[in-house]
Amino acid sequence: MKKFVTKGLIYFLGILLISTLLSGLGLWLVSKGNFYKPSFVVNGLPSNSFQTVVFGSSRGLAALDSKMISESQGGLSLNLCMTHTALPTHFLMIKHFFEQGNSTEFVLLSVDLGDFENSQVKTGDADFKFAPFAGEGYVQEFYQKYDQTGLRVLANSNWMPLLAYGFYNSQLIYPTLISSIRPGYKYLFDELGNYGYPDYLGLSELPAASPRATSLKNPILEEISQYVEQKGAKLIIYIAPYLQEDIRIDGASFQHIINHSRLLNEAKFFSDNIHLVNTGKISATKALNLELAKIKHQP
Amino acid sequence: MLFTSIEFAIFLPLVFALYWLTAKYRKTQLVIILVSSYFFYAWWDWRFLGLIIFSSLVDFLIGLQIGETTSKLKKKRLLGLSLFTNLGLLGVFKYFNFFLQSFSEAFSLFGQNIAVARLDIVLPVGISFYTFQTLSYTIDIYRGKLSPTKDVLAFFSFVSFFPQLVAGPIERASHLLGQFTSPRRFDYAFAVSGVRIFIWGFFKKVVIADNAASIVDLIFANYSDQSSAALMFGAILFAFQIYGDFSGYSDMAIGLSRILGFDLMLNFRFPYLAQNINDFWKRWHISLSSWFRDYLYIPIGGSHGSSLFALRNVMIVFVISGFWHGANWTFIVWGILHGLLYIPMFLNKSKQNLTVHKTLRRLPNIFLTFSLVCIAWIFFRAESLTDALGYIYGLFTNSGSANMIFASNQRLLVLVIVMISSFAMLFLEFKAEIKQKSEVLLPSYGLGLLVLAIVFFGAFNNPEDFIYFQF
Repeated sequence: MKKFVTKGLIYFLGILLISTLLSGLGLWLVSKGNFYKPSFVVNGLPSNSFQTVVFGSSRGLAALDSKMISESQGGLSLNLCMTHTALPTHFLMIKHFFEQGNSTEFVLLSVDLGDFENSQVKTGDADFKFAPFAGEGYVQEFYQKYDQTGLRVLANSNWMPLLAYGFYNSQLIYPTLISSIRPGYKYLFDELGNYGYPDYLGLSELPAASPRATSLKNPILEEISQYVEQKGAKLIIYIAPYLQEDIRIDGASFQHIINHSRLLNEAKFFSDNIHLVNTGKISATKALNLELAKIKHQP
Repeated sequence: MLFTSIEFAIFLPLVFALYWLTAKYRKTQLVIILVSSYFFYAWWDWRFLGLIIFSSLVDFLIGLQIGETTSKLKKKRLLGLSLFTNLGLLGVFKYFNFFLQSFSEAFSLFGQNIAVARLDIVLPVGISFYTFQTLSYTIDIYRGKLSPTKDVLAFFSFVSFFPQLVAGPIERASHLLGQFTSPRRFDYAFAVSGVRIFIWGFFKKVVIADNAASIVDLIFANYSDQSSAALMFGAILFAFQIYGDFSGYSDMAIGLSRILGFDLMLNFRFPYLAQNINDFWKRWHISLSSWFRDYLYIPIGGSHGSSLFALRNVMIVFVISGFWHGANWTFIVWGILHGLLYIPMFLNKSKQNLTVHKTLRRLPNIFLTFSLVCIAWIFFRAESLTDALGYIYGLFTNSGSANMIFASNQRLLVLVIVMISSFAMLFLEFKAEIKQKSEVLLPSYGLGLLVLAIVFFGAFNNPEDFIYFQF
């Protein structure tokens, strides 16, 4: 039995070593490409200085076109929204953007219904995209706080890349391969971070909207506000159009809030209940540009 | 506690160490097996422990009684009591709501609407497996093929042995019980073969089955708007999913047992290399099909008598086999389909003994059999008969236009992983069969590659329960 245990341990350690090396190499390759937005922020931005950067979830991605914002406002704007993310990840992306040596005049934060009052303390489906940068203090801090999985695969990924790479292998192998062949390849976004949503619903009539009131009490919003101020930028809270939600904001303490939840009154603008199609995106971005122009002229 | 879970990765080394450190004390080893098996089972739902203890106790006592009595009538009554208890438990926990629903629906056909109060019953994991295992014990004693054991610890361990408790193989007391009553010695080569087959099963489960499941679930949930190509891939992927899942579990069970010094029966012998449906059933879920052969088909007359009589018996076995899998008409139709596909070869006895060709000459037969099996699997996987028929209609008419696989790079990658892994598996099985082996034996470097494939291609963030746990 001693032989069995000894040989088993040797094989186990050998495989562990090889897997760890391969995982480390894989994450390193992803970190050197532009496949996901966290890597794009480090390697692919056209400039280090921006006029407006949009942060948020897929709703912000579907609603705002950073090219149109750039053309209207002057300077360069960027859309760093990521699908399957919530406010904690948006904050992480904001930190990632600034800590990697970038700056912007306006941080436009697209906030969704689920994050108005509070956010869940758990990692989301897209948080693994920061794993190549798990060694950065702000990423580690985020993973330590939010990773509730049994093995804490993301929280421990800075010293054991195998955990993150093994757990998220199907999401990381393809980027690894692509990043090693075409480091400039961007997955579902253009050079300024934009992506258009297809029409899923094909709705012809706008359903009735349900009214909701919020005072945007989520403490993470306050943290973001303070952080953005420290970085010399202005925070704008933005609520993208909804198909069925009529959001009313009462008593929020933020200086700049753009509530476009009921901006679009035709079903044809919507891809589904929460995302816009390209025509909707154009209308929403035009409306945003008007608001941005007003804010720019405020003291 | 899944074999592929972190909890099990902690549980197994502890059990292994305790078990072999007490190798000199057989009774202590049995206590370790029994306690660890009950702990393993209670991890799902501790309330069902009472059920397995009850089932074990009833059959242990009935076995003793049957062995002691000389009266044929009393033996028959005792066997009846065992059948009533075990099948009764199965009936209540697994089939009660089905019968109630079917009864109500039958009445509604005649314009009578009966309100049924369904019981909120949770199906105990593995009940169909351990029930059949304990039944084989009492039936074999009744038939005089087996002497009842007086070793209560050995019998309870035999019923609850954790490697095969929840999804088989369905062992026979004549094969396994004796291994509990005799002393065990650690055999290096046997244990290594256990590790090898365990890793092979693990690969089939997490790389093939769980990856396939992520696509299969999407396609079956949205079959109505999917193109023929997507539906075809859905059916093929499900065939690989269920095989990877179930045979993967069996391989892991066999491997774990070998590490603990037990030899379990073979449950799968490369079923997708079968050349016809009859051949398929000699290779698929062997422990269940041989159970039905020995305890149902032969007792009801088998192939003695007229062809019509034998055909009737074949269909009975297939219908009950389908029903064993679950309380749904989809399983029954799946069983009937296999029965119908089984009959032509069953009647043509001269073609039943197939030779294993080394050449690729048998590929057309394998392909045809696999295609038929895939179509039957659609019934097995669908939520209802309507869904199954709708799926098949879409498959042959190309009525939908969407393709969920090709709409996403990630799904496409998963498809590639599953297809390459599945074909590699079939190729290795083909090679093993030519060498007349019943399991794939990989060299050490091959196993190393397999472990790397598990790490880098296993669906760890999409873990699926073993499909057969629900049966």
